[in-house]
Amino acid sequence: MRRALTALAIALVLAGSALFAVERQWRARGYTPIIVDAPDLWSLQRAKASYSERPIVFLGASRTLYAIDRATMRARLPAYEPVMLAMDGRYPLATLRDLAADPDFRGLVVCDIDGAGFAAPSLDMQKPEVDYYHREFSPSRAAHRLLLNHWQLNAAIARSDFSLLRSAVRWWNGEGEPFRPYQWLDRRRFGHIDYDRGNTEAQKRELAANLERFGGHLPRIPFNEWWPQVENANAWVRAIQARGGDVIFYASPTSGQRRWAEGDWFPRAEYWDKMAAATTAKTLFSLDVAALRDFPLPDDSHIDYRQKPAYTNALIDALIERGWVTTAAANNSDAVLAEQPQSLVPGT
Amino acid sequence: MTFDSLTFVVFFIVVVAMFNLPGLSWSARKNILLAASFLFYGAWNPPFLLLLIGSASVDWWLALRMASARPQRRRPWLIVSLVANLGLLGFFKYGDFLRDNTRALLAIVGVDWQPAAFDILLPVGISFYTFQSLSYCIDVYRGEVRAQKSLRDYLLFVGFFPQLVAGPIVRYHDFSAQLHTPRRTTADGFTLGLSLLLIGLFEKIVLADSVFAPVADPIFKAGATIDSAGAWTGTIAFAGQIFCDFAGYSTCAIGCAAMLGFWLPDNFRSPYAAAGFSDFWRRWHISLSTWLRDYLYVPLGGNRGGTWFTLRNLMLTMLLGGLWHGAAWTFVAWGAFHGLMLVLERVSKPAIDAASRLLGGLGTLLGGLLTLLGVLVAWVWFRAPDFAHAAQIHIAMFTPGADSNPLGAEAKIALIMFGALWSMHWLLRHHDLRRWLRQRGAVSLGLIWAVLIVAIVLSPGVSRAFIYFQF
Repeated sequence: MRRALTALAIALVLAGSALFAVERQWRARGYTPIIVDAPDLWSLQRAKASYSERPIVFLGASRTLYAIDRATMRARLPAYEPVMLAMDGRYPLATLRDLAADPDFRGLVVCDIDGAGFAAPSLDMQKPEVDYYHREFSPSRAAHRLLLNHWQLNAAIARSDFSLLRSAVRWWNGEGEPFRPYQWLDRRRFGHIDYDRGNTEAQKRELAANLERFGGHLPRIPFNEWWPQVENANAWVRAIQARGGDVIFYASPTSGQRRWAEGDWFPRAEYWDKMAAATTAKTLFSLDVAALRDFPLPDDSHIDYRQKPAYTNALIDALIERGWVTTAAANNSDAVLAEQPQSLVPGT
Repeated sequence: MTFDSLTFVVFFIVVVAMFNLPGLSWSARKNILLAASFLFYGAWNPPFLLLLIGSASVDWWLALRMASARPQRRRPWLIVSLVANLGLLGFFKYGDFLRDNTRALLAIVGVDWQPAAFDILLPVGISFYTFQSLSYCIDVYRGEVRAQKSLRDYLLFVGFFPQLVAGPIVRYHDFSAQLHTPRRTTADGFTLGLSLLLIGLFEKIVLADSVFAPVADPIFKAGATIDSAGAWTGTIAFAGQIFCDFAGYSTCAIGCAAMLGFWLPDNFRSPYAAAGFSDFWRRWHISLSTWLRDYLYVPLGGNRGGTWFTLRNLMLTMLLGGLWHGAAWTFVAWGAFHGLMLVLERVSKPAIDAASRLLGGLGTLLGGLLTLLGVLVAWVWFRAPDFAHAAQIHIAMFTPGADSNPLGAEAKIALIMFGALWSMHWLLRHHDLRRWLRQRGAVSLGLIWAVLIVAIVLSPGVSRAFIYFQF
């Protein structure tokens, strides 16, 4: 027994000291603990969409992931449990399809999508996470992820950038220090971007380079190739509505050259408006709402974290104005939902 | 639940503490272990726990019927057990494979059959616990073990959580005595077990997931561009990954069992130091190779019917061994390659023996390198998604071109680590890891543990499922 306890004491003291030293070294260089997004973290929220009494589920890509302020949502719409299922860089139709197929889901979906999001190549972008949720996520993985959240929130060394292998690779390649992220998530996957630290010009340059590559106009997807995905999405919307839930297709704001490019790529009258006329979902085009249309976007696409409450308030105002959500508390909100109009013309 | 999850850390601490509560009877301790095993398995997919309990209970009952029947009346009960176990395995593991191949066969004769997709979720560890339960029924049929009267004890034999989902495949005669003798955590078991658990986690988290997998995965991804250097590096990295992943799991399993006072058999003994394919199968996945030997190769006739009969039995055993690993023809091809190598080795044994006598230690090293080359070539079939991809990698491997891209730092590190792994296997090829660990003093053990803990904690990244869970 003495041998075991001595070995354990030596191991704990040495390992603890070494890990503490590494942690201090990274913190001294300005690195802080962050939550790292992963399929388990997404799956935790996906599960919440099924078991919450009244979820308001945010689908989309980075524009929604880094724009919605959860505290504002909770304060203004107390009847709803906000659930963030948007994914950085990936369009959301696969998740919408999954929610439609889930008999337990009866919530409200705010699906941030533009013309490109309905194009066939975008359809399965979020499918890997959806498949992971159904095939691999388990009570054990959920418990693991909840524990890992605590570790990641408290230890900078929980980041894979600081792993032994990454450090060895950086040393081998003569690279500098790891990337300092200017965007981060909280444990419920609501994201934040700090443009005081970020590069606002990078996205603009990327879009300009793309436009230049294609001679100033991104190649359009023919309407007849685009429309079948809209019809599929409409079927998913109807499935959710049949269970008492609802879907809002929402085109979030852009500005500058990006706004011009998106309008040029998928002209609203030829794509969005036709989709809006055909769907039983509610549709909201942000350019039709003054408070959203003119919102400051440092990189023409995303919102700085300090602006999130204001943006979320503007979005909530637009939803309330149209009678699509209730500000009532959870216990008396059923009646308000029942009064909602069945279908609304987009942008009105 | 997996050994490399934080859930398991909490779970195992609680289980060890409860198992060693003072004043508990041996029966109560076994109840705790069974409840923990059910929780361990159910935490992955609760409905499949019922499948495990149901399947094991049927075998337990059939074995009791067999034991109470006269020897000449036992066969029907055994047949029921074989049908039940293999039927279960066939449905969950080979259902899609059978459907696709039947459809392809019918298409050859002009019948257009379009069956609905099954989309069956494979219960984790089904191949392992089915084989374990099956071997018990066969042993009872042969009269080699006495049937277990206690359902609780039998469920604990099948469901003992350290080895439940990925082995080692434990034989009943090795486990039954441990069920009868009261056990608890001892200082020696704790020290050895923690050492093995940390070594297993190091193999899995640091080597398999962090070092080898990121280099192997891109080469085997559909549509990958493969050059000669990339094909070799990816294949070598996969050889490192699959060993560290699977041996890591087995080492964790043996370690956890030791911490609870149980002994599980070795599953790996420095396999990349094997000199010859028969030697490889004495060192790789030992619990499966001995299972296949005792319950397939020997019943087929073994080496009792002359040379051709022996070679046929070897090939059949390896083909079915390949199929056990997965429902795809690539696994059968992998098994066929190993079978062919075993056949060649057996046929040319006189020449090999003569060369060994002539070359001595150098001959063993050369034999080891040739075996490693063969094993590497075979891993391509094991890992590739289809035949075309495997062929593409082989072509790239054996047609060195000038267009090879320079290797990145990750690939170079993976090659260095595989070199280190191979050297360790050669150094330890005649050594027993458990004995070596038992001989360490407190200070050196503490140092080893500290290094392993630091390396494990400093290897966060993508958590990959254990490869053998899919089998």
